[in-house]
Amino acid sequence: MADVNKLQIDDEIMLLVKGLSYKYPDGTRALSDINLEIRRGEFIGLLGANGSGKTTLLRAMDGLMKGFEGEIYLKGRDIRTLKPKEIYRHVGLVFQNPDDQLFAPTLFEDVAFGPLNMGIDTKEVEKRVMEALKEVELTGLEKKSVHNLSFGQRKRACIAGLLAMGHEMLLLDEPTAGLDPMGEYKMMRLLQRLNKEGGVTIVMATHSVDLVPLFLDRLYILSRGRITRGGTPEEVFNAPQEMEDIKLRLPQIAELIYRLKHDDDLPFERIPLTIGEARREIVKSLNILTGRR
Amino acid sequence: MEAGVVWNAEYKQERDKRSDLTMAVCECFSDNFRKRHLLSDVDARIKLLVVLSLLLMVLSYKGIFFPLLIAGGSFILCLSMRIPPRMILIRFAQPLFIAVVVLLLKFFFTGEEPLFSVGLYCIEITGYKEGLLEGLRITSRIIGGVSLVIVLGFATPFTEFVAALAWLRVPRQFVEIMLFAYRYLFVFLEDASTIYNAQKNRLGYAGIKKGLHSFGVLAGSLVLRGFEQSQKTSEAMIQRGYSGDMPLLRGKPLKMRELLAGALIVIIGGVIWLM
Repeated sequence: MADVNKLQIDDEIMLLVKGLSYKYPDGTRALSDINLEIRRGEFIGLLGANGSGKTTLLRAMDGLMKGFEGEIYLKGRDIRTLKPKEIYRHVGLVFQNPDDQLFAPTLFEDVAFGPLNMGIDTKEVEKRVMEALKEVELTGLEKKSVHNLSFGQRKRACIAGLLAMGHEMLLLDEPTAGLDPMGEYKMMRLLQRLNKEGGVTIVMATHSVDLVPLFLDRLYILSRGRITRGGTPEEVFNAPQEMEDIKLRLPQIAELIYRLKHDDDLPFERIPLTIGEARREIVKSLNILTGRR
Repeated sequence: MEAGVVWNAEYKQERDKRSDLTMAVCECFSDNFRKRHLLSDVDARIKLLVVLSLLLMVLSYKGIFFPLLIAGGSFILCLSMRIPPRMILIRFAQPLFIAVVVLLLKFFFTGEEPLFSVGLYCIEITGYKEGLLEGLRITSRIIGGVSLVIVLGFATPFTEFVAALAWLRVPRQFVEIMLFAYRYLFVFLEDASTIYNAQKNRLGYAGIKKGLHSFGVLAGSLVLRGFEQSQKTSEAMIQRGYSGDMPLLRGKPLKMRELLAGALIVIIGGVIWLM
């Protein structure tokens, strides 16, 4: 977790959140003293149980929420002083339900909506739309009605709509929710490609612990509106009890190794997150047990 | 090609998940019928102009010949576009019902010269000649007019039709509302279907009283969801630069060949109309 006193604004910081707190109109506290620093090109996850404040935090970071305490800086400028058009040239939020976001009748028109609003000429808009659709592997479906697309395709179409605007930063609210395991994997690969090859800074909310964190650079745990832990996925998942306290669990492979270590006293040095790491750890501990090097 | 194959596979999976009701309506509106045909490449604006011109002639024609000729031509055109006759009948059903009601009302309640009279218990039913003629005229206009709209609907994707309306300077507010209605009709249909099935599963429609109550709850829920959806959609639009005007892609210039063909159809229609 970023220390509020150490937070400095420099060119590499895309978004800076300082002491963010928010109460719903009925008095329920949604966010409490959130401090975050998101650097250019990072792939960051907000992990938390349902109702932990992930969506509210993303909405605040996207400038959709007013009336919060604290400060949010987008590329060094206070988000409250920015006009919507200034915010949405840099950052875009992908909603959890694609039907909330896709409002034009055809895929092409929906993806073209943002660039057209930016005043870009029609030929350039067409080029951008086709490129964005290619990025999300929806080429060939541009004339399809949005309601005829599958759920996974609609999710990808939402991302294309923001990519066509040339955003440097994407905020995604549970992009893998409702997808089958293969769809979840494909979505994460797509986001990873956008991040690593396209240089897009990505912040995503999720409560999936098995697959999603493996793709992330950093992970923040949100519980009851507070960031309780932050760091690399390895660092975060090294505290199983803490995870259980906030109604989350370890990835299954990490859970297995943790139990073998604590319940069966097997000599594991660290808790792995992937099958490859687990295999190496198991072989290493077996070697120790059998006295081999 | 590959994308098309993937789309078909994913669409089929999705179709399996959706309810019969939703799919029936989706099929009715979808682009399934709009494959390659006689009118698929013709500019929507030309189609709209021709249809509007013919519609004007149908509505202003004094007899029944011209509207029925247009209706017959439209039906043949639909068949040549390989539209299943069942779909044509589905679209015709409602206006046809209204036309028949109008015909009967006119026949039995207006006019002076009786054609026949039947006594049914204490009621005497009389059909009048003037009423029949007037009823037939109105009915033929309804059939002719609706058939033109049906051809336009089958031959033109909805979005192209709306873009053509915008080109014709139809108020933007109206065009935007049409676009949203078309998009969210399917979302609300899906919602309605889900709520209906959830109610049905818990015996919400066991009996007329319970059924009415459940239906009222369903309608109320949809209104609330409508408000919720509008809030979310407006947020999604704002974050993509919406500032009050829905941008529409500019259409390509009209092709002279299509313009002349359209004009020729209107002129031929006009000549028949004058005869």
